[in-house]
Amino acid sequence: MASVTQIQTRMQRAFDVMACWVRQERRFPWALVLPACVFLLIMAIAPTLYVIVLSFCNYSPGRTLGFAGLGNFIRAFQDPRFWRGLYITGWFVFVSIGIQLILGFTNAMALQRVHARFRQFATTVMLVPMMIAPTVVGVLWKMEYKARYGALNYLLEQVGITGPDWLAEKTAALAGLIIADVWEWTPFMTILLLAGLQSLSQEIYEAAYVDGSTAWQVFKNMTLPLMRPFIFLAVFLRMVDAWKTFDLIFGVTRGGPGDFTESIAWYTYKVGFTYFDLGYASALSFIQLLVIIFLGRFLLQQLVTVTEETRS
Amino acid sequence: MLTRGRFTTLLAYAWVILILIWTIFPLYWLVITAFKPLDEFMTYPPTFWPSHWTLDNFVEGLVRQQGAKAIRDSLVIAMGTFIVSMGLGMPAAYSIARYKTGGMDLAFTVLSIRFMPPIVPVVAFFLIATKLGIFDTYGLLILVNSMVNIPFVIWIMKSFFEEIPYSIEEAAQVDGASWLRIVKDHVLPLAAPGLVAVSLFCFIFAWNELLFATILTGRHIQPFTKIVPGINIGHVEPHWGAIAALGLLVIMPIVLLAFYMQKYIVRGLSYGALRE
Repeated sequence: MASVTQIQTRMQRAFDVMACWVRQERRFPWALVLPACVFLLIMAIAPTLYVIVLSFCNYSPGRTLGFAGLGNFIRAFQDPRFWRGLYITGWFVFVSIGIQLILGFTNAMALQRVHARFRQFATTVMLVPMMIAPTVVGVLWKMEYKARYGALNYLLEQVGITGPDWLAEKTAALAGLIIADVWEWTPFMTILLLAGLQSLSQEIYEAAYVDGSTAWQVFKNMTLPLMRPFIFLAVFLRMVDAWKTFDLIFGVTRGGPGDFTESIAWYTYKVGFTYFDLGYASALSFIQLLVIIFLGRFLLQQLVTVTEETRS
Repeated sequence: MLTRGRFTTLLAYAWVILILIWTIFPLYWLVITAFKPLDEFMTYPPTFWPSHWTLDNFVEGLVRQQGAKAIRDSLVIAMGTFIVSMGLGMPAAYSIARYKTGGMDLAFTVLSIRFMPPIVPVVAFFLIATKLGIFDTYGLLILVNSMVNIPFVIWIMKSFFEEIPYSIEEAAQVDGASWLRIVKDHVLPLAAPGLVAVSLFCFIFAWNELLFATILTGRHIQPFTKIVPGINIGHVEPHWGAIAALGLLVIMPIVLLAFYMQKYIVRGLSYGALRE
């Protein structure tokens, strides 16, 4: 066995070799990125590859691993809960983001017209919903949705509307999730779009008004086209994020009533960690990965095209 | 007389005020629920101001429902994640910003990891962690959260480093300063505001994280994101008072940080694409 001093000398030598390697001009930049790259390779790429392999297997803890071929994927395509998961996630990715975009744009336009101090105060307040934990956002809204003693139904009653039993009815539960999602993420749109609006030059606006254009014409012919890169960026970032929807469901409905409000991420979680069908859960994960790769690619391309068009 | 310009401005004010009420109301409700006696929460019509203020909910949440332990767990994970992600991410960001290491390919590969849904690798994390015996440990949670945060650190810090003119470093190089010296004396001071903002973002992301926190923990580690929605009286009825009290405690620091981070929020949210 090597003595302590021997080990020390060896370590010293290894360190010297490393330092010498690092010091060379060309390698130095690589030495700086290497730790992060190795970390990501081990923590992100390797587990993902493992999941892809598992998706072609049958596996539950305590049972033997068996090759399943495309079995898990065929099962997914025949599984109504899988399709409903996609459908519910679709509500977050398209409907909720659509509402957020319209509201966010309106907010940004309004904020641009108010006094700078007030604008800063308002945007700071708006940061809160998206910065706090999504689980807390979930319980916050669950509290409002309580049929018997929630504030929401009481307020609705004051204006003559009988509110639904939010968490017990299918449509109401989904609407409840979307409302909470809109509350949480509209500020994101607002703040990015406001940054966009403020970056537009004021001179062209003045020129347009001097030309006698109406406010609507200015909005349609100038603001909207110039804002397209910002709109695309905001929508792109939100869509990629909405595809992962999980936290809000954990806080508000837990997939209920029944399994009506399960997002695809939530269903995968149930399959993997309630039923412990890890092979099938891996297949569902792999499908989600493929979708996000194609969706991301497509959206990114659109974003780049739009940005270049607007610049020219 | 009300001109058209004035009218739209008035409309803008009215709209912003409306949006502020909509944003604040649920938060206000959380605050008063935290201080209401529990039986008052169950009354109908609901009261919009507590009849008397109590701290019972905080005691219930922190002590009897293990909330204090949950907050400590979340704190350890968030601190660890911030240290690991900054430690690994910062040098990489500097290298990519200054030397264009790996070109756009490397930068975008790193970013795509951030866009991957966390549910994708989690089955592998679960199996590997169980095999290695690190399931339900702080270390595991710190590692997986860092995996998500490093791409973020790299992209945002890259945008901050790119703003520092290279000529400053070159001048110092000519003077014969070592690289370490240059970074310490010239780069870090200029990047400091960004550094603080990114650190806070990292901390907040890990603090708020739920998916890994539910799946990769067992009996030992209970981050607040996992336990808060499940605080019950008996078995079914949620203990709303304790939930609100804990919820309030865990969002308070974030709300305060939001005020400080206002300046960097646009850049943070857009991965450095938009700068104010």
